Amino acid sequence: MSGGIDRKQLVDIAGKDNVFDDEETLDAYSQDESFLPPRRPSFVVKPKGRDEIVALLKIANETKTPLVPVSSGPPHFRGDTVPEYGGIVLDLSGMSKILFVDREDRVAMIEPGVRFRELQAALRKEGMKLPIPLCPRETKSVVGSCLEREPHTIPKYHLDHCDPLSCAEVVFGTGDVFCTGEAAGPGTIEDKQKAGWRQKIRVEPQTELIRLFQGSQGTMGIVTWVTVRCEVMPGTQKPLLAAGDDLEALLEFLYRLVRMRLCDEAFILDGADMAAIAAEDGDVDALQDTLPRWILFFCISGYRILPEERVSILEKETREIAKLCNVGLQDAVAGLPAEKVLDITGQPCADTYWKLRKRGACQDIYFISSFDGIARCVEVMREFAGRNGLPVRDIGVYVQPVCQGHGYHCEFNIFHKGEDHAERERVKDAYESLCRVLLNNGAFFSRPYDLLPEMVYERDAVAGGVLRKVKSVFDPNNILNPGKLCF
Amino acid sequence: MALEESSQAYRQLREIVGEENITTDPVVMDTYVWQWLGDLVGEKGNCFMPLRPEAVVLPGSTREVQRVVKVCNRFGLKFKAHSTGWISYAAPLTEGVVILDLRRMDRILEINTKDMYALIEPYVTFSQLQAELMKVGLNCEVNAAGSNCSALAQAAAGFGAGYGNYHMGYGAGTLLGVEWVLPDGEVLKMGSLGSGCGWITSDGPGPSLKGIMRGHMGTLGGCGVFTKCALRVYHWPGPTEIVCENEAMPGYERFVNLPDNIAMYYLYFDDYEKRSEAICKVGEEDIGYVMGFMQRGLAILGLADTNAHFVDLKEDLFDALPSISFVVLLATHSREELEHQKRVLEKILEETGGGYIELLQQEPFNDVITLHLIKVGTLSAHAVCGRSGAFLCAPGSNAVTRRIAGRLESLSIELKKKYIEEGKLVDDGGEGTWGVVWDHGHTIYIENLVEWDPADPESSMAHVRLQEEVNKETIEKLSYLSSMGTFVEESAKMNPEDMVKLKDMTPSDLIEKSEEMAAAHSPYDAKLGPLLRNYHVWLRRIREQLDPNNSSDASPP
Ligand SMILES: Cc1cc2nc3c(=O)[nH]c(=O)nc-3n(C[C@H](O)[C@H](O)[C@H](O)COP(=O)(O)OP(=O)(O)OC[C@H]3O[C@@H](n4cnc5c(N)ncnc54)[C@H](O)[C@@H]3O)c2cc1C
Repeated sequence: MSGGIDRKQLVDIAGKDNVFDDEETLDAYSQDESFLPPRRPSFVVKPKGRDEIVALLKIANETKTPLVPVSSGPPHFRGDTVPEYGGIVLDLSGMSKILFVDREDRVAMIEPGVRFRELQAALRKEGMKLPIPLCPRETKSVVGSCLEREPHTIPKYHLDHCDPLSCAEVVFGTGDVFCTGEAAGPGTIEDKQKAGWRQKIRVEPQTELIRLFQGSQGTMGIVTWVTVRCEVMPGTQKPLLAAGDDLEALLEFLYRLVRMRLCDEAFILDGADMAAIAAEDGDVDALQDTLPRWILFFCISGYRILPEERVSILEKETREIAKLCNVGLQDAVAGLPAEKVLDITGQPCADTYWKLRKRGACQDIYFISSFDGIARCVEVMREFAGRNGLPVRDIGVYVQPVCQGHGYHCEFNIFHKGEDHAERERVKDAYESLCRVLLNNGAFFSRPYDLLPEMVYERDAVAGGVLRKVKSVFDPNNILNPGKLCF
Repeated sequence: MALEESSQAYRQLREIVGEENITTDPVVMDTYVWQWLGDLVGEKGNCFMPLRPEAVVLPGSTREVQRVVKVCNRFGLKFKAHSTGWISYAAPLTEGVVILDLRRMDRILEINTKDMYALIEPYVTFSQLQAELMKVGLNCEVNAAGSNCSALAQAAAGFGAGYGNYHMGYGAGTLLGVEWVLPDGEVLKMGSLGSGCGWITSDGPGPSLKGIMRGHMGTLGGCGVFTKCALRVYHWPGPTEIVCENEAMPGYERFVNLPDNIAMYYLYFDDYEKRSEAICKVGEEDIGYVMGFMQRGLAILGLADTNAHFVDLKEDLFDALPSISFVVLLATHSREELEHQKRVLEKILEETGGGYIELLQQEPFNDVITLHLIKVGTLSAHAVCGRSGAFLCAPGSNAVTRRIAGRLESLSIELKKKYIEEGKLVDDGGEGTWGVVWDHGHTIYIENLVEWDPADPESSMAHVRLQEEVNKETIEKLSYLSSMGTFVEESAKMNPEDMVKLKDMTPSDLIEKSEEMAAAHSPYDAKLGPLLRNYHVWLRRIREQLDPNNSSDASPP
């Protein structure tokens, strides 16, 4: 039983093979790598489609039972799928069809269970690709990633924090089904497709409701499909690296590259993160020893028409700017070729997820920063780590320009030994305090997970108040993933 | 009814803004009521909207705006923001509205070159902003309404279609942090600002409230007041100052210091599919700085100085220009890169059977059009309002996918011709399409502009009938209905009193009343809402949460 729901009701909706209440399964969904305390759900249900989700929401509303949607496979890191109030976990990973890929309109429609590798393979056949987050884990759902507003690595195609998400079908907390943006109508999706639409336009007349479901950690509605905007596969690519101890010089160069739209992929990693990614199954620490402190990676691309010519002109312009910024460009850094960085960062992480390679566990801190805030926050983090006995060497740094250079996603990856209880507790305390210090230094936690929402909404009580009003419209009984964010 | 000067509400408003910044003078207040599209919404035959405000106040700061809003809440008044006031929705749509004319809030507060934004107040115009940005090698998306419009009003509360949508984004996409005085007087600092982390984003923490702030269009004054916003700005590879002279065409400016890394290409195609294909290919190859369409009828409207000149120019040019076209401005970092982009463009033309419209590549057209693409200026307003004083688009504006664009355009051209032949609409040969390209060619935005005479009720109604026909055809043939088109069709059928009643309906009325009630009171919602999965009901539920006293004036549609 869970809030009055019994197994039979769930079996009637989803079928007996898709309802789980054995201890092993419930335990698996009760916790993740984050510091949130575990809590077992009463059931795990694997729905096969929208109508089952609607039916589940109906009985959940009648019985006030929490529903927690999850699309990716383990390991989870952010506490967002830990059912803080128990209830039912809806595992959508079995809904995994690629519904269409359209080359003409550069778009694909996918269900929540679709993962990056299979989508990329389908797109490649059509000469396209999806700009993806830095080396995501193999089990990460594309829909999940889009709903979490994870940034991808190509700032010039990252026009908005929503990207690459376009439209979605959502079952609101009320049980009503809605299609966002152009997909709302007139007519069904089939009618619209026949007429020539491809569910690409994100806005409704006076709202852009998809933005409420992104960043909501499953608290507003359950998404059953999305469309994602794809880009053409480059015809030629020229990846390059720049490295050194001077973060500010590299940042200046990165800023100019992005501002002038000279490159496709562009980001900075420190030696720890680069080693964790590039070591694959090798020794991360040994590789880190050979790498410089900061590494900037970027790639100049040419497309279908005169690709070599484009690359050579842009490379020339890039080299002039590099000179101005006092930055040297290299094809390889400490034996690590730029080609390899392009290859491994642009696809899901095979084998062990890179964040787990160095010490077995990892706590991420990520935030949006202004340009000036990046170096300041790195400094703050290093000082804090020094004072609190965290080995700076074990904290990776990733700087990603977002929205065409309008802001930066900064990520600190604290690698630690997950199974060592004392170390875990120390990292947990440090994580919370460091986030508070960073917030005071201009780090904007746009996606507050696990332990952070309280501190974030305390700071912005008005936003919290407005969000609760909006939530009361879409999920009046607070059925969906209660306890998360400010709900 | 104007507020009595002796009333408590008036006295409190005066105390907030000062004696010199409040008026109930009917003559002054009428200037806020005489509006473009007034002939559709109010009495036919003139441009007065149906309702005068209660008072007009000119607040000078966010704090004053907030206090005015609170007074309105307290005294059962409504309020509406007015920035540059180019659109009828800036006038009252219900009884009892206090207009907040924001012209005293006209400062550019910051230009941040590193995070590439400009922090502005509501009365900052595009021309003011663009001139300052170019000095530091930056540029902004300029709404094609003209450089005299408020940059904040378009981005936060209005529309946002302009040539720069190609890589600078549309509407919400151009906005970073926003300061929003909510309808109950609370100040929401949207995004990073609320956490004290500057203006760099309006998304988060958690779900983005930008999603309830605007969509294809904004709240149009119907949900609080935006008092500041940070607009994204972009690299500008052109000169730090645009030197213009006025001699090329009567009344028109031309660009005189055009550098050799900027060039305009006006392209033609044999059919719409090939044009859509070419637009997408330009985007896929990542060339071009800004892009748009001006079909030959519209281009001639814009280039003509007087009505007589228009007739002559049309005679000379219409048949000499191809019908299906678009225009792209290349602006690169070097001459070499420009040459490369031109070679790519040529290859695309080869693949799509297109070519250059040589006539428009020559002076004086070349300079005039180039300047228009960069600065917009007054050319578009002149084109659409210069002949008759009123215009709109049939179908109403929206972005569409590649397969739809040409069919939408050709469908409305054919329907429009009949009314032109009857002498009811301005004769642009039916070919008045204006459009832009969003997000490096991912989607295409189309308007087929129609000009009519607002002083002639028959002419106004011809436009309404055309809109009805277009709406019918777009639903049937394209699974499409434009919200603006529906607004025109439905609002023009009503008398002004019903219009007011419609706007006063609360969300609970709408949700609880039967469908027929909704149809009687809100034909717009009744028609469009159900076609969009009852989108309007959700919108109104959200608005009800934000505006418990229903004190923001209604927002059309
Ligand atoms: C000739 C002409 C051509 C046009 N062409 C285009 C075009 O190409 N592309 C396009 O996008 N639009 C166009 N428009 C529509 C519109 O005028 C523009 O969007 C314009 O940029 C907004 O400026 P405005 O002067 O109309 O603002 P206003 O009329 O001051 O405001 C527009 C709306 O927003 C509300 N508003 C204004 N300021 C605030 C505020 N601070 N807080 C809350 N609400 C506010 C008002 O109440 C009003 O409803 C055109 C209009 C005209 C008359």
